[in-house]
Amino acid sequence: MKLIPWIQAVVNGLLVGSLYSVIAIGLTIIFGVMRVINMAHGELIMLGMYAAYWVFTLFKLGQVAALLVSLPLFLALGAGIYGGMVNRVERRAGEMGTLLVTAGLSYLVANAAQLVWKADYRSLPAALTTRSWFVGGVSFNYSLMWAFLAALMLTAATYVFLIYTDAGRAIRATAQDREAAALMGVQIHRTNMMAFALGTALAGAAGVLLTPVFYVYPYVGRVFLIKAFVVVVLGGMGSVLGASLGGLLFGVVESVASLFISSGYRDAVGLVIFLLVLLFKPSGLFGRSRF
Amino acid sequence: MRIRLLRAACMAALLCVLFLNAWAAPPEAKGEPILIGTIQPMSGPYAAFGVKFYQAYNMAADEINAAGGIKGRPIQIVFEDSQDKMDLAQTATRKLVENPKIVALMGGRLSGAGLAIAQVAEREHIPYLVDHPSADVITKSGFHWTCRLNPASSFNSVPLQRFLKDYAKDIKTVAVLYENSVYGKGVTEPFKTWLGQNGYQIVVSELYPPLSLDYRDLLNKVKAQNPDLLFLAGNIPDSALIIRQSHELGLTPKMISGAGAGFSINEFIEQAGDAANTVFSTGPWSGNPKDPKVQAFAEKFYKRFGHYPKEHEAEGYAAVYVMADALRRAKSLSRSDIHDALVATDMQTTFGPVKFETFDGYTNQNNGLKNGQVVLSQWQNRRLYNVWPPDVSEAKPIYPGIYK
Repeated sequence: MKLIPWIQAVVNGLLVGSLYSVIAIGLTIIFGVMRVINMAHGELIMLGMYAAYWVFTLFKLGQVAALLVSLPLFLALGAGIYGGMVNRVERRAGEMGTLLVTAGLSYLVANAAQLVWKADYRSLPAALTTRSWFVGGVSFNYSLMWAFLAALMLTAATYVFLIYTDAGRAIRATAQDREAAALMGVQIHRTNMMAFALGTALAGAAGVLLTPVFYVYPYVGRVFLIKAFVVVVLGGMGSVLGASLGGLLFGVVESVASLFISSGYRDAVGLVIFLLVLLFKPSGLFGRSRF
Repeated sequence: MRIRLLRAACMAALLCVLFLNAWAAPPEAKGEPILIGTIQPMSGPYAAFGVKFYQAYNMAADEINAAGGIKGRPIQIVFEDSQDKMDLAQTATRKLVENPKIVALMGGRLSGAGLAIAQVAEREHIPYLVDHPSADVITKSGFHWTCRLNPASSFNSVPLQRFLKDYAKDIKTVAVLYENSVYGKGVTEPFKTWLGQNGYQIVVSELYPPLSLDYRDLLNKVKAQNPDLLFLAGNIPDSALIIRQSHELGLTPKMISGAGAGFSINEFIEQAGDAANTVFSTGPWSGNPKDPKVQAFAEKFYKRFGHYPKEHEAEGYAAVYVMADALRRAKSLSRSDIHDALVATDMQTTFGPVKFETFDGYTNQNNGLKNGQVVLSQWQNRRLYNVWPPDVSEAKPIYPGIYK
């Protein structure tokens, strides 16, 4: 067996996995702080992908511009979803209510997207996305490399925010113990809103980074939501560190597995991991610690 | 007072519009139209294909109607959306069949949808003219009510087989990637059998689920084996994505060939761009390029829709003429009389000769192999040219292909 295909599989896995990490961090922060499983997370990614697509198509601007434009929009969107919907439902109907309302939101957004943008598969021009850099027979796609670096920077920025800022400390405190945090003077409502906005912005940013390497269509969010669930469970629900490492690990496992099983079973591999982790190590591979 | 005035003005405007409409009615449409039902993907990921048939059918129907229609009545094509899903195709077919004014069915796009329609047609006793779904099983199931104009899937790879035998003789190893569908298997499995019988070595053979987003792992596997020929059977957008990602991974076989479908339409070159240059496609032709009638059709189509017709448009356009011919010859416009007339078809179209025959296990299948209606073509400078066999070729094949 030659070595290069295996190295290539690991490289691809790491590059794509870094994006899974960003998606999963967003999902896991929202879960950790609020105990809300955000079923609309995939659709937020989809909106991010369309944002990048339109910023390029209409203004011929690249991903940096798309990120700068979409980050504040997604922060506001996240705060809006929390304030206008999740918070209200949570007070009246608890965790089950938020699960259902975000699931409803996901259908609404996906169908609205289909209404406005049609079911067409859209992609950025090939010239932008197929360039690669070769090292000893292993290809590094430019777009994926850039997405990888941006994903690492986003992850690092999220860490710095959570560990070193007051707002970040408030988020972590709320995740550890909501009542105790409230007693210490943390404003729970504001903290929740911040966490939801942060999670949404990460989903949107992941969408922007994914655009050059994938297709954009209204239901694309589903694909990534399932992967994000697997990663979140793999890393331990609510754990940001777990989600970052879990994303990379999952990307590599997926890509190596399809090299020696069959790529037709790639999604099955992910779901089998999901079941095994839940059965034998429900707190995730990286233990209980949050953040 | 003011409101009354406004109301009167509105009424007047409405009446004007109604009258204008009456005046604008098409002059040649006399009598009640004869309705032909068709099931096409008009929305969803494959809507691009539905649009092609919409254009081709309507262009042919307009020409036929302008020339006096059928027995003095115009024909009209009634579209139902299937999104190319088998279950939706069945529902759509039932809806058409339940309308007693629909005298016959045509179309379908993916083989799965075509098979579903053929099954309903068989139960409900309505003639069905297939013009694109190619899987062998559609005309190899002994269906009485189904006729097929386009080549069966086993024929599709034959031009490629001849090219390998006569021209690209240095090809020894082959990788095949095909979508897990009635179409993917229908095209690829006969080709694999032929490869096996002729001493080629199949180094990778993988099915993938349609509309997967990431083919890098699959292509990485292909790259590890470094095959001489990469054979692909898939639809847009998968076809373009596979070519882009294979370019990205630096895959350089001597030849990459698709099998019609997602590899022979303009959307492919638009989405895959220069990465698609010199990619081959084996499958139905779009009529003999040297026939002046075909050239006239192509130019007229280009003038109306802004792109040149390929296999889909050529098949759809010819199918309406075949249907019109059967309607003209039918003793009455009952479904069974139309079926009898359709089966007896023997005519020349822009797609070449059409005659429904029973041979080699096929029933009511136009023998596209005998008629030379399958070709190997190649994308050169963003256009798809026939390159093999030589008697219908428009350009010299570029072999080995340049995939760098």
